[in-house]
Amino acid sequence: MSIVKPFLIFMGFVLIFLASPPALAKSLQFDIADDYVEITTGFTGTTLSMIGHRHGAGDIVMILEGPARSTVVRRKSQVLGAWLNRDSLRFENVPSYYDFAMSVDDASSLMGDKKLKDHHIGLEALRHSPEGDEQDSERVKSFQDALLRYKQSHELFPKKAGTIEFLSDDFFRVDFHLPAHVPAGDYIVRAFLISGGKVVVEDTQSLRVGLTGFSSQIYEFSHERGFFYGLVCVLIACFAGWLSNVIVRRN
Amino acid sequence: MQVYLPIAEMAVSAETVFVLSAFVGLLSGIFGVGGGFLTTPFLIFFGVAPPVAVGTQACQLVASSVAGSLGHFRRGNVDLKMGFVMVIGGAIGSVVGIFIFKLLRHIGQIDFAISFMYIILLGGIGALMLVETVMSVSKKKDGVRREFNETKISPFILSLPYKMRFPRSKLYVSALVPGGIGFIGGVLASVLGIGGGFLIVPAMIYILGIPPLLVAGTALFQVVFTTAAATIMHAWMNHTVDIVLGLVLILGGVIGAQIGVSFARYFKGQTARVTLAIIIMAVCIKMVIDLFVAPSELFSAEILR
Repeated sequence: MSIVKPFLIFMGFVLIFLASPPALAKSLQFDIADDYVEITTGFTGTTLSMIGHRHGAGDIVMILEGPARSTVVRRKSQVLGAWLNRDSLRFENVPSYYDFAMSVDDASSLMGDKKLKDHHIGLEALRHSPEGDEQDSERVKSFQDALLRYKQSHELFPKKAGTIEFLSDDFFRVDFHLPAHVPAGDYIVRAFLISGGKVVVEDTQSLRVGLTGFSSQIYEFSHERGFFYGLVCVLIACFAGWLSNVIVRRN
Repeated sequence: MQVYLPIAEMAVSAETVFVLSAFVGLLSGIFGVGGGFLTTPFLIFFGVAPPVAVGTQACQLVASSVAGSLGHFRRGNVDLKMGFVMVIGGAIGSVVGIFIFKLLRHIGQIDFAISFMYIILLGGIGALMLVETVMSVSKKKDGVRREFNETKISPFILSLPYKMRFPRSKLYVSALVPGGIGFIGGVLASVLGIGGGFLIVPAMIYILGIPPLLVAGTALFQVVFTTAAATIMHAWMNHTVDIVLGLVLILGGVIGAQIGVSFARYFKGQTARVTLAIIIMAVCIKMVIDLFVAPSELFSAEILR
């Protein structure tokens, strides 16, 4: 891995260099060091490196986004002194993972809020409206804030934008950190070249985060044949119980 | 060593979980209880989702109850007929429990429900154990487990229909009684991930009137089946049984229980019971505090599939 990664990055450079069109047209290319993240039994998180090249002036935004999920946010309040969930809002299409990096400090300097939202750029763009016809904007905002806090505390959303590291004037590199509990699924990496308040070039690549080996087999077995998986678990447990009883009697 | 749990979808430190389950195994070796009521809250405390903690704990209990009941079985201290009647009730109970669990999860009250039920159960059992210990100090019973139960069975229990003969226990009693006790055990196994021994055993002695000699073996015999049913139901309906976590728990539990059994010699019956009662009360008080102290984060989120 330690040798492969720099090699892939180098090859990425070469590819991008070769692919760079000679014309004056603005362009943006990038490549991901690994386009398949494997979650094995010993997985403790990983760093995903991307490297890219821009041709022409403009600001760069890179986004890594996981599959969308419905998410329920619940709020506790006091009932007879005990704290329990009393209120909830459901949000559709919340990215299970989201991280982004920008060549500027403030997303609002790139373009208008509406456009940022359309392109999913920045944390503010992730404020989806909840399901149902909810009028109370204060209430919605408190639930949206809570969802952001929850995601941030679980390292599934960033606290702030990551930085784009320029290796030269036009070659850049971005690192995204995936935590150990990163949700599996099809991820999308998007790169934007933004100039004059609008997106000039957009490039998209997909990335698969998947369980492999033992973990993946267990996961699939349990979700596709739950009954038999349960039966196997019980048999294993029975065997373990019998074995421990035998060992105890020997001693 | 960090281990990735494929169903819980998180990485945990294997050593921590091992030490935790060994500690609970130690207690069960010393006191002769299952200890599921301690493992489940501990797992939740480590960040394992409550449904996964409950489903996986049920799986671990299959192993520990198999290990425990085999010994009783060899010594002939299991009333099989009684056990099977309890298992029928237990199987129905575990199915009902799964639906209660699913419903609570759906309305977002599963965490509260688990805490609340633990507080009632642990508080009740802990208090009863303390009271019983104080009483028995003044009465001084003999410690021999007898073939006969001298408890007076209430006339209401005796009046119930569908009477059956249980030759091993020398009882003629309605099948509804052992079936009902098994049913409660099944619900507890599904909803709370515990064998429920601390509730089933007293019920078998004081309500059913089973001979004390046969109590532990018969109770463990039915716990094998109710926890097995709960494990299969959780795996099937909720996909919440993590076999990797389960194996670490089983291993820790087995080793802990062995150490516990050899420790048990140095504990007097009274001391052991008071100690266990205090541990149970401590867990109960911790859960009460967690429920009543204002949480630092009022909001929680659940990601749906």
